Amino acid sequence: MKGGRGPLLAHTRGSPMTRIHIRRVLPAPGEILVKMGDQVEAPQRIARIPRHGEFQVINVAHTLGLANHDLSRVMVKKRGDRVEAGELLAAKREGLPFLHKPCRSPITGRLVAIGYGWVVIEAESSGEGQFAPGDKTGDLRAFVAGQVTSIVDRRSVTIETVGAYISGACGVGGEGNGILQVLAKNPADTLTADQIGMGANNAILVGGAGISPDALDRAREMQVQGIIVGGISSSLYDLATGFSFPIVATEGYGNLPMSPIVFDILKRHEGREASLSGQTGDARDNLQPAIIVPLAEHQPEMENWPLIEDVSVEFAHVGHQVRVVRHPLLGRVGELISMPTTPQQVPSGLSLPGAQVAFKNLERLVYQQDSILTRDEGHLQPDVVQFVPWLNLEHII
Amino acid sequence: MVADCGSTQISVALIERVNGHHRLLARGEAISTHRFPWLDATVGLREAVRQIESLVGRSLLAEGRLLIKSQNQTMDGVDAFVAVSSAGAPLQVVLAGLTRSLSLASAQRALAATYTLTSGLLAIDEGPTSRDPNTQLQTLRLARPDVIFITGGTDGGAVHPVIKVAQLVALYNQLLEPEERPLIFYAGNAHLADEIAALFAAAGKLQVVANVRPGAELENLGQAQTELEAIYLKRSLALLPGLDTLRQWADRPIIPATRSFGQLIRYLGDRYQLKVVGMDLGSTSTSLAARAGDLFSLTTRADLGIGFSAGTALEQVPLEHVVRWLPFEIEPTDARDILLNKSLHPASVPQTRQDLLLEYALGREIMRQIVAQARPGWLRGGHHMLAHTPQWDLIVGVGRTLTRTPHPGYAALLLLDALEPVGVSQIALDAGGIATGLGAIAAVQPLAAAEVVEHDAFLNLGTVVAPLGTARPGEVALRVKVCYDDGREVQQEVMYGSIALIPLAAGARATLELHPTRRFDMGLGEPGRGVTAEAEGGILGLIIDARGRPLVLPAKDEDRRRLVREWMECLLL
Repeated sequence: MKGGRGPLLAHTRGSPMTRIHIRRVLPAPGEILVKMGDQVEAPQRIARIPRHGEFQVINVAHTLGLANHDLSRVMVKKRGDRVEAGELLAAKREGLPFLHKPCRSPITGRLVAIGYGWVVIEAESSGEGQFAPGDKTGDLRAFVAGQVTSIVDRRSVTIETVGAYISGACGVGGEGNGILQVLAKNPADTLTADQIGMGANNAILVGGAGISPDALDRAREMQVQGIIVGGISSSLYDLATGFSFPIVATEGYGNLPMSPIVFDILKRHEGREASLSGQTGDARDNLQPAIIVPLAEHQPEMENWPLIEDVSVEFAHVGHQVRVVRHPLLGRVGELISMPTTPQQVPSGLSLPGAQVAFKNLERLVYQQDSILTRDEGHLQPDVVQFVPWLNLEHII
Repeated sequence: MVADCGSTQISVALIERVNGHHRLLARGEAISTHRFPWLDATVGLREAVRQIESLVGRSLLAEGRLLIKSQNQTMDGVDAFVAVSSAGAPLQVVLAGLTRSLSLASAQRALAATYTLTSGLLAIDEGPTSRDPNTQLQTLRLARPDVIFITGGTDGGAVHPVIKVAQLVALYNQLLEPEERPLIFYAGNAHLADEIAALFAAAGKLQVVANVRPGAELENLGQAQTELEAIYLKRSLALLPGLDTLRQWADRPIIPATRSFGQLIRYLGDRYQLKVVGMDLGSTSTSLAARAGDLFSLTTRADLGIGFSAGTALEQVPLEHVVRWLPFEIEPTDARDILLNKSLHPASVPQTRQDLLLEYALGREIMRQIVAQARPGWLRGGHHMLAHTPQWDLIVGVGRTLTRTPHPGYAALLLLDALEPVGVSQIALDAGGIATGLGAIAAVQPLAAAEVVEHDAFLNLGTVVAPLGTARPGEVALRVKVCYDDGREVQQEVMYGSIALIPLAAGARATLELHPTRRFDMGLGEPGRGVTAEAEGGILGLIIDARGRPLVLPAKDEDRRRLVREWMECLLL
């Protein structure tokens, strides 16, 4: 490789301490409730779009038997008026009195549009309540404790904090805040229902490789604020979509041991307030699930952790810590020890450029032609060196 | 130099005159960098260009900028730079019209020429619920469209239903802040254009184009396709981080990769007088282009891809359809997990054979989906035979999944399973990784594009012979006599349900005498009638695909897996 460096690699965030800028964006222009420099707490409302009620379309022209769609002569209410259920919206007063026809509002709300023979009533709502994923109205909360450093008129607020930041691979649900509770002893454990006790109420639970269906149900009963695991099976994903709390998988789909780096960071922060987002956007949104643990100032641990100010992504170099994103070593973290100049063949038959990566404590992997590989977990091999294609590696920053 | 800025990877190719002809000199690749943390597409582009610099021993960049030869006295730099891209987010479109099988079908074909996603559909002809304004309003609210495409009525035809639909959309617009309102795109009854314009004069941005269905049997997609592409370029691609810099370097506007790919297929069909079909299987989107005489069809699916869009693809393709192509058993949940993990790391490559075959299985189903969507358009082009029994002279495979296989037999099998061609066809792969850029190159240097096509762009896999028909296992489907140019002859009987591979080296030619048995037809409409054809050799040789058309997989798992293994072994996989 030119200049002793490898290619650009994809990356993942797993920083024990870094400066974090969270941009909180309203889905449409609304009202900003904070100002520059304000210190905010995670559950604090920082912006809002008054929540809309459901819209109801009423065909006034049809109800009144009008020949055309001109409602100007029949409307009793105008755009912006509040109406009660049963209240008169419009009336045809031509001809004999007993032929006069009324059109009444079926719901209580506000008249928001008139046109083409129709009116639209927006049902009354309290105007409050958090955004659910996909909502366009509601309250926007800070999500993390920190300081407001930027406001874009009626649209977004940026909050800065310092602490741990971990990217999730996939997630489900909205946002949650709670105290981190690490239930797994080992990043390869599966979280089971019996591990989840009364203390889980309002907590963010940290499991290991995955979570059992019973544990999911139990977590819901205990009203947790979120769950973090290494992997989540796609079969549970559909079930979890209906839950009120977020679930973040740090490695991906399936039963996947959590990265030891991520597990270590979460273990260190056990007992602290964390913010969890399970939201995954589409190609427009660029959202990614995230775990954030803001740190208050002057905490002793901070002296041992270098603060990563800039996320500058370098080219691959010998000595870099890298993570594998594809089977059979999906989720494993190792050290890049050499960069062969010629492509090498992998078991799939593809010949690819890549790197030699040293892994510690790797369980022996047993391949069988065309079938799922099995892990011989009784045999751990220290310092195994494996060739991994560049495209299957990412930096951890 | 041409750059293809994809959603997952950026590739750059350098073309130069060598011994009087334009040749593909070198290529470079890097991961796409328009997302966090780089937020600049040119970071990856520069890395790819530096790889070319290493290979050719010349400077192409100076202080991070592309060197243009006319601006310096040395041999460094390039004469021209063009770029294509598929990295912009697709336009979210709600389709609103009258009849799903007529105007809305034409509208969908118009949308399919560029990167769009249909996030909602209002079809008035689908019963009282579909006509209920509350249902219609809810559809619009949930869809969050960038564009609302209104169509319906032939020119001089339906009036009231089209106006009703437009009025509902105008009412919806009243509920939105001005900056939130989607663009209204009208391509319906041309006689209503003024009335539609009046509806949106105060409530939205309107663009009026020619009716996509001016007559019941007439389709006119050209203007709608051109304008939709322009909207995509302006509203989506323009937002790509780093695009401004790319524009400054480029000699021509950056165009969608799918358009450039379509131009290539059209050129191949016209230049060589062939019926050509091209399949570009990408990470986020897949494109199918076809040229046959006057027919040109381009179908783009921005929700079907083997990488980023693997998740959305799995929402549309039943998993059992995917795993039926595997020669081994796998738990459905495990299969889904593996494919969804691919969508999280779309640039990643399969390291195990299991992962490889699973990706290929999904790729097959993605391609079959897009073929099924494109076929009615081929029928409308008057090509009944193409629509029902596709007979192509040339099949072109594009995209890394197809062009970077452990063995070219994989690519051949993927394309045959997806397209199910009938008759005699040549198969070629975009081995140069340049197919999607050739259309853009042709706009500035047509000779360069033509010469690269001639010399470097494609790897010829060989000729495939596939009869139409089915029979009982063990029956002879086809008798083949191969008469080589050197006078040798080979005769072979090929059983129904099997694939046979007959040697025919790259560059060699042979005359084929093809005798289908009574249940089989070489695409002439006459079962049992023999034909003579010329065949060109390739990396694989002559492939006799007697598995039947339509291709039917056994329902019993063991039988199906055994058969899939046999087919792979036939092609030396």
